[in-house]
Amino acid sequence: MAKLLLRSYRWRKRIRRFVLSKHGKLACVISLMFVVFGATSALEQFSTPNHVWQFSCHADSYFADFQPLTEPDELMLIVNIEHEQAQLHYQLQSGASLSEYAVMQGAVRQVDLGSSSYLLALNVKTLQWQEGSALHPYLLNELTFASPELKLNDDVSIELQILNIDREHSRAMLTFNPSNSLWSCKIIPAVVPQPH
Amino acid sequence: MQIGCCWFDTERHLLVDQAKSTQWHLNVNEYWVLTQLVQHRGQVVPLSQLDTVDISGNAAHQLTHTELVGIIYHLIDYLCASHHDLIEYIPDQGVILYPTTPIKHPRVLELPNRLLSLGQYGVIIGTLLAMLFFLWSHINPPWFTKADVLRQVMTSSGKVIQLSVFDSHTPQDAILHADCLSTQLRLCHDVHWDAIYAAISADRHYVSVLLTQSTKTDWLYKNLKIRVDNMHSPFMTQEWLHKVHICG
Repeated sequence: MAKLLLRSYRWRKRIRRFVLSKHGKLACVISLMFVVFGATSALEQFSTPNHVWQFSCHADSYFADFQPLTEPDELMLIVNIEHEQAQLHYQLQSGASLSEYAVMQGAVRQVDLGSSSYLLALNVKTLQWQEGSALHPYLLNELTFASPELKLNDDVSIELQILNIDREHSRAMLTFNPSNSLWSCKIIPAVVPQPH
Repeated sequence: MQIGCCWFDTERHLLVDQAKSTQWHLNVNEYWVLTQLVQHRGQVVPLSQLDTVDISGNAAHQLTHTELVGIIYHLIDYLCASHHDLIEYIPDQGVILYPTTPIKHPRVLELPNRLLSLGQYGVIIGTLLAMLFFLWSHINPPWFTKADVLRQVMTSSGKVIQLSVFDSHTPQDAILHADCLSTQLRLCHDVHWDAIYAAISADRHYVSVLLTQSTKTDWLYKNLKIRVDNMHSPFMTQEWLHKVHICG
């Protein structure tokens, strides 16, 4: 016991001598800098808000070579971003019957909080085109897909930017880059609002 | 004891210059002269008192005038390099070591117990710069998408509509369509919307139009997606604006 105490006392003395020496002070200053730096980095990492978004968007689409007097088809887009996961669901409905759809799932590759943009790396999971599809060329444009055909299991990389959100947090304006496609979408709240 | 920028180590007969990190081993004669000056700091020490070297343990001996003057000038050279007028030699009379030197704010590196060497300062500054560079490379300035063309259109009924066109590729097309839409909107008698945003797609085949209107209780929104064969010619007609309910 006495030996242990003596040893600990010697170590304390040694550490104290080291801390008071020039090299010790230098080591202290540098380690303090690293601690502050590490703490701020960790804080930044942990304070990043959870990225959970669900957008529901509807548009009147005039895809049939811009015939002004035809009835518009209903184009629907559902965007889901849950932390690292992302999904885009497009659906084009003409009349009462379900006509065309495409579902893409994948990961959020990069988040830029400064511009509120999400870089999504998606894979085509489900799709259905009709003869003379109107959704297919639209998606090739919106997703800036390089090859002339979008098929199952194709990889799609797209940047989604939230341009603004209204004061009630009910609607958001989204844009896809680089296609420059613009959407106004309803924000589906991630948390069920509690009655007051 | 401190003399100017030097530390006088009386035990080891050393004169240490901390600013330059040099030291001078004083011989018996030099040590004797300096000790006498230190003991009578602020007073003129006569040459007759300095030329008889009498240190305990050593036999007393006499210095010649030339030897003494040589030692004095040597001390003046060494001590007064950075502190002028610290020692003054009065020819044929004596020498004075002034008690205070002109007030000078010492630099950190000249302090008697300086903490860090230049190399160590360099390491700290280098580490700080590296960290700042790392942080700087991770900071992205906020980036906002701005409309390429902004217009305010007044309809025939006096309503003002905000028109924004986004087209990052060819501003000429954005201006063309903004002009076309403005003209058509002016002809409308009644427009349901407060603001119209139009974005021309990168592949020049689609236009996204976003219409917004604020009512007393709510905001109304409408998305339009239009396929356009030739983006370089105006395509929005009065008939079409009525069809999509932009004009009433």
